[in-house]
Amino acid sequence: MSIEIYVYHDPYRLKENKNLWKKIIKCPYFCVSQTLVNGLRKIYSKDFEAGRVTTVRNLTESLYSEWLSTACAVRQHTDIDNIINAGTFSVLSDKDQENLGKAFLFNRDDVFTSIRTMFELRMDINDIVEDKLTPEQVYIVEIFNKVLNSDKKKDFELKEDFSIEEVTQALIDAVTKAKEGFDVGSLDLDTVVIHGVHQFSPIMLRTIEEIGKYKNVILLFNYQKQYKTVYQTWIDIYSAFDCPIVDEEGNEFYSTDSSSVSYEGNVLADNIGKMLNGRKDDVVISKPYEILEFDNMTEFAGYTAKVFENAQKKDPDHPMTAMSEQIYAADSSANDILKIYFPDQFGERQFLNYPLGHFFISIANMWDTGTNGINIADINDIVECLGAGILEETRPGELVSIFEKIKALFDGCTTVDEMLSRLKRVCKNQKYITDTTRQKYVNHISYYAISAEEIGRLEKALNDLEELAAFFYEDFEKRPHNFKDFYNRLKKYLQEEIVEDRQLDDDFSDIISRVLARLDEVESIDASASFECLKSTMSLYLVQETKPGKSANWIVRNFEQIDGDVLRTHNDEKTTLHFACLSDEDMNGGKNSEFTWPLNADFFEVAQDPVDWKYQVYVRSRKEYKYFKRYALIFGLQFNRGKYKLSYVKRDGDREKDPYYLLKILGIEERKYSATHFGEKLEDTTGIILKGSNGAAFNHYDYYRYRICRYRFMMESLIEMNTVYKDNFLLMKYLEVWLENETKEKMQGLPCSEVVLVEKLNEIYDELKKYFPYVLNINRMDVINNVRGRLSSQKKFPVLTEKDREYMMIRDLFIYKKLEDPKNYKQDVLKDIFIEVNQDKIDQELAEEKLNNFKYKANSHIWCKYCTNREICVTYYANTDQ
Amino acid sequence: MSEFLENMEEENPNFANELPVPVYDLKKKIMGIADRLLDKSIDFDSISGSEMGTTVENNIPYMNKLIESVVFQAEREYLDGMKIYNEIDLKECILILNKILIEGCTKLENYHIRYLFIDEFQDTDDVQIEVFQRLQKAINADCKLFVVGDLKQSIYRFRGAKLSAFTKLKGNNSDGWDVHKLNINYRTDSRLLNLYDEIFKSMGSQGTLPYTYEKDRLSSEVCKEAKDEELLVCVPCHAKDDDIRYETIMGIIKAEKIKLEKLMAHKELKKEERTIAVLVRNNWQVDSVLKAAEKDGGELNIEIKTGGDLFQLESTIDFYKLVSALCNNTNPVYLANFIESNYTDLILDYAKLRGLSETETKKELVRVLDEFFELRMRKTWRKVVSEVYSQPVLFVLKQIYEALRPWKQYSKQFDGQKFYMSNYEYLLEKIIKFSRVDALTLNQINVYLGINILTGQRQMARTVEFDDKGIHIVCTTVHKSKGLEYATVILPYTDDDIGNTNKVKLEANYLESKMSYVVQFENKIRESNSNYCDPDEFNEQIAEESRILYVALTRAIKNCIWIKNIDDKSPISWGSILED
Repeated sequence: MSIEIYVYHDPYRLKENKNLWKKIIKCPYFCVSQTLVNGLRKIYSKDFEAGRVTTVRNLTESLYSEWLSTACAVRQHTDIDNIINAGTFSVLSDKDQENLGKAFLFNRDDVFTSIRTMFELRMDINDIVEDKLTPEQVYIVEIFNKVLNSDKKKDFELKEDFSIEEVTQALIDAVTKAKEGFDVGSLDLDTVVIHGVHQFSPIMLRTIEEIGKYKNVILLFNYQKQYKTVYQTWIDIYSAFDCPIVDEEGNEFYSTDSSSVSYEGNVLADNIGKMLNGRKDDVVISKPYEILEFDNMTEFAGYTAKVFENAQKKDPDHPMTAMSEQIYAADSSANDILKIYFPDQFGERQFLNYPLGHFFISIANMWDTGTNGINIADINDIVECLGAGILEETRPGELVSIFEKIKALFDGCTTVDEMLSRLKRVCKNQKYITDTTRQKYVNHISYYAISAEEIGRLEKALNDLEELAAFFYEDFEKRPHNFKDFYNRLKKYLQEEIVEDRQLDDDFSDIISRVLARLDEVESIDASASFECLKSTMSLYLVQETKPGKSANWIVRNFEQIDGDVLRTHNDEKTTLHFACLSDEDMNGGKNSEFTWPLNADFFEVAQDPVDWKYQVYVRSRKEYKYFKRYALIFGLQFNRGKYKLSYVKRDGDREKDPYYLLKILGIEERKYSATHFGEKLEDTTGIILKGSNGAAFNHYDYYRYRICRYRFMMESLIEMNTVYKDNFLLMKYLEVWLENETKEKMQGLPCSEVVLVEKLNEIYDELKKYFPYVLNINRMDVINNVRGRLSSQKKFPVLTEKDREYMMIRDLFIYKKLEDPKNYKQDVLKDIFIEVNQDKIDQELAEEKLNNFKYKANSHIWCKYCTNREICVTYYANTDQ
Repeated sequence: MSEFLENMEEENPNFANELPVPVYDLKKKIMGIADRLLDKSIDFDSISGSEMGTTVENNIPYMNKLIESVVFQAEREYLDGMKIYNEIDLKECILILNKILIEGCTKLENYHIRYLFIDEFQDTDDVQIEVFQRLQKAINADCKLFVVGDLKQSIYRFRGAKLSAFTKLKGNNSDGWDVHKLNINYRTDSRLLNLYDEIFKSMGSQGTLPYTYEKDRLSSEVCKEAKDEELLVCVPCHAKDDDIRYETIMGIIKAEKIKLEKLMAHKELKKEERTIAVLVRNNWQVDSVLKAAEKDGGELNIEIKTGGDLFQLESTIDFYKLVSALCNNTNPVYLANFIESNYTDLILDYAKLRGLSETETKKELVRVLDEFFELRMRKTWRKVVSEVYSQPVLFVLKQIYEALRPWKQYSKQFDGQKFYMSNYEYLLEKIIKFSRVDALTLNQINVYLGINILTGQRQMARTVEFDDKGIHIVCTTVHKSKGLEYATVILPYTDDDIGNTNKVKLEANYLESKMSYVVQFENKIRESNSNYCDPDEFNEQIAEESRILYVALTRAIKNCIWIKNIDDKSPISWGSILED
């Protein structure tokens, strides 16, 4: 093995390191990141030609293409799933097995990465001390063991013992992948440089090992001995390679040129470096440093968005490079917010994130392999399917709109069949109602208040949905080679039903064609696994092949990109490097755990003690990650040749953060950022009016609505022209009113006794419940008891008078005629509402000129509880005292 | 529950008729019992049937059975259901942590934690205290506990906080603790503290407040501007008549405002020194005071201390109206509802729609929206609807928000607009955290908002620090005022009968192997069990209300004014305590 380790001091003066320069100038050169590739190319231009200089990732992918393929990942996922599902872990109790099995399936991705890491590091099961493991680790070691001792082992085999030809070919592939047609003849293929890696992955280390068998591998990183504490993290990692580290004297960094725009930032780096070395007395501060304080992440994202928008205006084709500030954040979650502003910047939208993708995810969520059909645990899955644009509708959102209008009907439904049968029942009832009073009553029920045409459309969509779900998933677990079978069906569907049948926009058809191209890999999968495994691996398969030039441009970059990007400030004093999210929490990198679950530092350091250098380097580099951000900040400040800016985000949810302690010790001053984004004047809309003529005259019920709440009046009397009960609580109340009214009608003039009343109530209830197919027995108890309570005190049912009928009608439309306010001495809040009123008064109060330009303000009170549109208006819920 | 009631009906066909309370209320109340127990971190599995006593009123003689076979069973099933999805309920966390610590946890030593700091210790419940003790042991023998608290400010009894908190923590090792008293007050007028001391001493001697002169008296060297006779003032009025009560409150506020204005003419005051706080017990009282101020002419700008109302704010409600209109874009009710939100400034004559069919109404509203969006966004509403179903949803919603600028409708003031925008942004951050931003759908946002708004979820809103250097008038509950200070405190409701245990509509506890409960249903039917002790509750309630009064009074740094209801006949109230 031939590995050499070199350090350099000044990235701008690599050339002056003559001995090293000679070694690295002709050979394939692999950098930790594309940004480092770009930075070096900017400084050394033709000496660092594209192709010769590329990323380490290109190299590993060329050498281990099979291991890093999707097909391999899916095979391994299915193997792991099958082992977990089979159970039989003799080392664990049944309870642990059940709990851990669930936890492992839930955390599939972490488990998958951990198992692969174990294989990549060639872990020897005999070297693991079981007593030192957590139960989760015992479980994963057992999975590892089961793979090793079964025919699944072949799916986890990493190619070993490459020949020199294979290694050379991988180098050529990596170079030509970076630049098509690159002339490899000019390269010195006996030497390979790996530059700037702090976080070594096992696969990188294997690559180094394999190449090192035939080639001379040079590992290169920046080192400043004058800032020993800051750079110690690099020495700690690289010393695990067990090779000498060559350090040529000279070119150390010192901030000397006080005339340069970068001087202040360079001195800041120097000060931090000195302080960490314990040389506090040498720290020199001419004027206090400043840090910009953003109140929250959105404010920071808004600031960044502004910088980006200006850059877009300046150079629409290359906005990222045109940004006047290059922003690096210790916590890059601002990108989640920036994705909302500039979705295109963050790479192409993945297939599964399109409505069609949501559709597949939702039907998969609902599919129940036990019953071999759809099982609705969450009705929102149905809504997602209806809103995906796959099922036929005349305009986007139409099916969701219809569903929402009548969703009360589906309360308690667990299958599509049940939903369909309730819809049928509604149609049938509607058709056979001959009694005009009944017709009048059902008109107040949401699912009877919609047109037969709308019901028909929803019915068709639900039938189609069920059919499609069955097409994909029926008998899934019984099918041989079920993965291949499923994806072939999907390919067929996408090809025949989507690409050929629908008018898709160019972008989306391009995406689908690239998804189809990827699905060709399916042919190589023989595995069968559980339906759950299919669901969890769908995201691996249902992605499109990447399109060149469509990669993500993270507007806010992370600290890993600093050491490359900083080099681009060379000869560019105008750009500002903005180091953001400099709080203690963000800088100490708490969000990333060192190892993937369930592996942890103890697993590597206490439960095992292998001497293999790759193992040592990997573990050490993971554990050193927390020092990387500190290094990156100081490196960025040292070698920045433009201006600099520091900022942090103060509030994260309920918590407040402090600026990074090193800056605080240096007496940094905080300056609050103040956004001034309130926009100019809005266009005048007074010309937009509703057309038509004022229709039918208002009656006294309209007037009552008006007296209760103007908003209610607007909704019920002007828009809906009806009182439509929409949710189950009110529908039950309405059933109660209906039952009471109908009982009064039918029993008028007859003697009343408890027995007769209860019998009649039950009889009418049984008659009415067909209009409320979701009622439960407990609803019956309440409905009947409430009505009984109101009617049982009388000896004889009275013959109904006009006044009685008026009362019944008010109940019909308002549920209650009297409502006590528990907070105000039980006053009847409706006392002055239902007054006797003549038509003249109504006409006067609701006159055309009065209603024109009227502001329909909601009047929230306990009556909102019985308002049909309370969940739409929501004023009642916004009241703090609910 | 349905199953339980059906079984009961099978045993007794007349069961439904004999049910003295509505089923929905029964359901609500037994769920309330579960919540009360969980609030106190009580594990249902630890309660056995024999520990539930017997029903006292016997209105619902099967109450214990109901709790056992419905409440406990449902909770078990719910938690098992959560387990399938690898989830745990927040309310369960402390119980699970306790179980883990009981079963033995050896891995904490690596954290090398030297101290555990716990603030507001008086508000911890027994299980939490056990967790702290076990956690300390699990870390290592050298780990020390540092706790700070004031029993006089223990006002979270409903969450299981007890006056025995410190004693329980010390256990058998009271010598192993260093105890320090913090009795110097750096903010309150010493003369006011002297007056308070008299009240607190009296409460202490009656056993309603854990206060003794020697141990608890606060001393101060501060002297504010109030005259001696203005420090603690009682204003009597006939508060039986609401109008008189509110006129009195407004009068006091105005008078205090004038005094502050005079003071500010020659002295610069900090924000708390120019804040007048009206402190009340309940949220509805806050609303009443606000309404009274509005009725008074709106000259007094009363701020309510926002706390936990992100999902009740207009920025959230407006956004919900937008999202639900997009989800229900063929439904005229939702369209009109959106038009009436702050997203548009349209003033429409909806009477023109009366008499049109639903299709015609929808068509007309869509036409208006098309015109409106064309003007503000240069594209029709229909185009926007189609985009929201095909493009990344938050991107489209953000564009709508920025083009329509709802904050301008919401307020003409800079701080109001900033508050609106800030909380809209906070809401978006919440939504992003709730789901992956790339995969988010319109329906998911609609459901998220719907659940949070319609179930009254509490989430701290983002406050906008805005100080115009003027006088602030705040109305809030005593609980929300904890930890804060104000120049003047006004207590307008001091006439509530704090000893009336009938006001206890629902309570449940599990203490010393006895589970107790009391429930009052909407129709006044009451049920309790033999473990529930009314006299105990009476004393506990008075003691807690006394502590709440202590917190309210000690918020004042300059002066305190309380309204005495002359018509008050309550045997014991804040008023009677203050009068004594």
